[in-house]
Formats: sequence, structure tokens, C-alpha cells
Amino acid sequence: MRIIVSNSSSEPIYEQIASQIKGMIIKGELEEGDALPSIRGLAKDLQISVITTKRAYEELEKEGFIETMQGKGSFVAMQNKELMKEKKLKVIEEKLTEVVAESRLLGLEYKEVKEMLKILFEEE
Amino acid sequence: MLEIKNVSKNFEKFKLNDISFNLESGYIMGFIGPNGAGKSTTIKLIMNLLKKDSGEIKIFGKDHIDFEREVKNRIGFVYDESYFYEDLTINQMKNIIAPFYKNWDEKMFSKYIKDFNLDYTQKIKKLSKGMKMKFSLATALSHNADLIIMDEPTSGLDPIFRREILDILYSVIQDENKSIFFSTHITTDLEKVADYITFINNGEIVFSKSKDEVLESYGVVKGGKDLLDGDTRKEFIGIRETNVGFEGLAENPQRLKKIFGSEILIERPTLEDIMIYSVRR
Amino acid sequence: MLNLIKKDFLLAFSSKSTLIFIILYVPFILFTIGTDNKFIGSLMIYTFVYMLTTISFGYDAQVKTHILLQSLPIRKRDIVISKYLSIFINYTIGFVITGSYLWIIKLLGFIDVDTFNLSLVESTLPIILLSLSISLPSLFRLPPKIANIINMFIYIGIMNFVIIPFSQYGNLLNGLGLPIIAVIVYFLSMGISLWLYETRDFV
Repeated sequence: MRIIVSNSSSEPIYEQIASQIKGMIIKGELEEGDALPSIRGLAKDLQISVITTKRAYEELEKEGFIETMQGKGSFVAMQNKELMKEKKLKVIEEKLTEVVAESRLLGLEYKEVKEMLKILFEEE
Repeated sequence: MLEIKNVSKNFEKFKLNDISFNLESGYIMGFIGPNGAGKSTTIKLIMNLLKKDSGEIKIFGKDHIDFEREVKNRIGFVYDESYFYEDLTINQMKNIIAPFYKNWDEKMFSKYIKDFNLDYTQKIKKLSKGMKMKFSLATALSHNADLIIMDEPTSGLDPIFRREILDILYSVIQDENKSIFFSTHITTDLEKVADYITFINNGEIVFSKSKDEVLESYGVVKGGKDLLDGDTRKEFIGIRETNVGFEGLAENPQRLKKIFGSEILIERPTLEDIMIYSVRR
Repeated sequence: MLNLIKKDFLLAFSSKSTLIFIILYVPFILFTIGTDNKFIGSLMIYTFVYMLTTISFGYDAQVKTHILLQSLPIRKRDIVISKYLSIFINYTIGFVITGSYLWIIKLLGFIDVDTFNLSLVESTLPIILLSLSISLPSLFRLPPKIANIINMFIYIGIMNFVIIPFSQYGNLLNGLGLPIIAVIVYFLSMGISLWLYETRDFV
């Protein structure tokens, strides 16, 4: 697990932690059921306040990325697959929108773009 | 865990006026303020070394005088000076202190002595200030205390050693049933480790909030002197003017952005900034 | 409470200067004052008891050790009571040290000293109780430096005006009811000290 925090960044520390963990979950580096460090242990490792790590975890829990169980700790949440899929779909949709816009600018037609896509899929 | 309610104490030339703040278990509270602000006095009132004139102090939910002995059994204290018997050795001093505590843990004490590189047979008067402090800390942590009270424990110590102490405090606070109350005017120590900050000045509490809240609600604003006038000056808690501009501390600096726009630079304050600007006026 | 008494002993006997004093005091007195005087035994016991009982207050003056004591889980009441009880223990020790010393010296044939009998106890204990009963309240309440000065005056005063002149009249004084007076004053003093110590500001 790699979490690195910058004291001089304008982004509040709790946000830095939350987004790094989010990133790891989305990328799949953290899988469902994986245990996260305890809020106190994390505070000690990063040499920050326990309130900050608590806040980061609360954020993550609010957004559904993790679950905290009293006395046991925090774990990567189960429903993630759906959420992540949705998020990834959204990313793909955004990228495709870009492709469509660029194609229009160039004057390409749907057929040509479809061809390109087919070749790319078959390549892999 | 530690509740101070409307505590006052009058001296000839100084007055501690209606002090209130709380510390819950599992957290570290930094108690900051300039010299003479009342930090040591507050701690002495908590430990009943001084009699308060009015107010209530509860520790572990119990009145600190009615249950004095019970409460003190669970408090580990570290003061800025060593009040030990100088002619005794560490071991002898320990043998005096240990029997008074119900939950003295000899193994823990030996471990700390070993970790701190102290010599049991060394006389207290021969110890350096840092070593005396380490001994103090060792005794404070060796009776399963739930509340650790420290009064300027790191003043006069080198940064390396101060960092060591912070690491120890971090380890202690892994247990969420313990709390640490730490007074200091070296705010950089607290910048990292504190969860809550209570700021005292001239015998009164200026604020007592979580450190993140404090650092987020203030900002250091820098800009050209031309931006200052009668109205804008009021926005600041304290201003320092130089030949090349000004620097000031303000609450909720975001609203200043609306007034000055991009002509100013807003930075995150350090605890030291907050203390200096609040005090200097 | 026992711990407190133990602490005082540890303090008294761990300081080199105290130990030297204990060892050299008896011979010193014998040499300087001579052996003819009847008050020698009383003087020695008086000194030892005073020293053993008040030495911890001396530390308070130097290094403010009362602050340490007040921060530990100890009741102020226990501190006062244990100090008053320790007078008797210190008396026994003073008696034994003085007695043994004088006995050894007599045995070795150096000096012929009129050593102990228990009548010595009768004549010295009440006076010691009385004088410490006056000293202790001031030691418990006043700032250490001032209290120590007062203490010194009381010690010297009683020594010069009571112990030395009156040791031979010990039985006379006892006839006047001194022991009873001493005991009453002792308990009064304890009560006063308790109250003074409880209401004290330790800074």
C-alpha cells in the first residue's frame, strides 16, 4: 500500500489520502475485502492527526468505496464492482464523445470510425 | 476524559479567567500560548497543585479533588523541570515512586529505560536535561496511565530528541482509550501530532478546536501595502507591514479573495503564525 | 503511608553528607563538649530526630520535590500523618544510634560516659514532641526557604534553652505534667498541619 502526502500541496491532506485510496481501488490495486490500515496506524505512519485520517475514511465511506466495521477496521467495499463499472463506463463514454467530436472535425464518417474500432479490437 | 469548566484563579498580577475546554479519549490536545499566558497555571490547577477559585475540573468523569487519588493513579505527568530528589539514583527514585501506583508495570519501565539508554545507577543530579525528561517520561508511561499530561516537556531539547518524543506519543495514542495533553510554545511539534489545539493568551482561552479546523479557518494573506486602508485593516487579526508589502492573518480568508481578487496571495497558516499574529495585535 | 516513611529513610541515608554527619556527630560532640555534661545524650538524640524528620523539607527548598509528591496519587492527609508518626520511628533510631555509639565508646574504654537508661527517654521525648510540633506546621505550610529558617531557629532555641539547661531536671518537668502537655500539643499540631497542608498552593 502506498500513500504519500504532501504538506505543501494546496489540497487538504484528507483529500489527498482519499483520492489515493480511491485511485487504488479503481485501478484494482485494492480489491474488495482488502483491509485498509487502521485510522490510528495510518495517522502514525504519516505523522498526522487521527482526525484527518478519520475524515478521509469517512469521505471514502460516504462515496461507497469502503466499509468500516466497529472493532474490526475498514475494508474495501463489496458493491464496488457495480460502481466501478459505472465509473469506467462513464470514462469510456467521455472518451468516445471526444473521438466523435474529433472525427466530425476531420470529416470522418461513422463507417470509417467503426472500421478503425474493429481493427483495434482485433489487434488485441 | 478531561473536562475543564469555567475555571478561574486569581493571582496578584495575573488572572486565569473562566477557562473551559474538553479533551476526549483517544486524542492528543496541544495547549499553546506565549510565555506567561497561563499554560503551566492551568496544568497545576488540573493536578491540584494550585487551588482553583471557581469552576469545575473533571477527569475520567470524576471530580479531580473528590477523587484525587483515584484520578492521579491514572495520570502520567511530565513537567518542564525535574522535581526529583537529586541525590538519588534512577533506581532509587523509581523505588520511591512506583509503590504509590496501583498499576505499576516494572517490565514496561525497564523497557523504556533500555530504549532511552538510561543507567539505573546514575544519580539524578548527574543527568542532562534531556535524560531527566526521558526518565520522567519513562515513569509517566509505566503505570498504565490513561491520561498523559505534559507541561513544556520539549523545551530545551534538540529536534532529534523532540521527534523521538513525538514518535512515542504516537505509539501511546494508538490505544484509543488514552489521551495526551501537551503544553508547549514550540508549535512545530504540534503541527504534526496534535488532533486538537487549545490556544490560551493572557489567561483566557482564545479557541479550542480540531487542528485541521484551526488551520483551515485562518489564512496568511500577503499583498501590497496599497491594498490596506481603514476598512481592509479591520479584516485582519494582525498585520505586519514592511517596505515591500504586508502580511496578515485573517479568519476565513476566502472572503478576502472576493475583496482583493488575485492581487493577494493566501497561504495556509502555521500554528506559529496564528499564535504570533493573535498575540502581537 | 509506609511508603512515605520509607521514602524519608531512603532520602536520609542515601545522601553522603547525611551519612557522614551521622557517623561523625557523636564523636564530635564528645570531643568538643566533653563528657561531664549530663545533657550529651539528650542533645544527640534531639539532633538526630530533628534531622531525620525535617530533611525531606530541605529538598523541597532546593528542588521543589513537593511538587512531585503532590502529583503522585498520594493523599495530602497521608503525607502529614506519616510525618508525625515518623517522629517516633526517628526517635527510636536516634536513640539506638546514640546509645550504641556511646556504649561502644565506653566499651573501648576511651571515655567513660554515662550511657543510657530509659529515663533518658522520659526526659527527651516530650520535649522533642513539643519542639517538632511547633516546627512541623510551619514546614508544611510556609515556602520551604522561610520554613527552614524558622525550623533552624526553633532547633537551636530549644537546644540552648531547654535541652541543655533542663536535662537534669527531666524528672521535675515530667512531674509538672509535661508529657501530657506534649501529647496534646502533638495532636493539636497534627490537626493544624493537616488543615494547613490541605489548603496550600504548591507553587
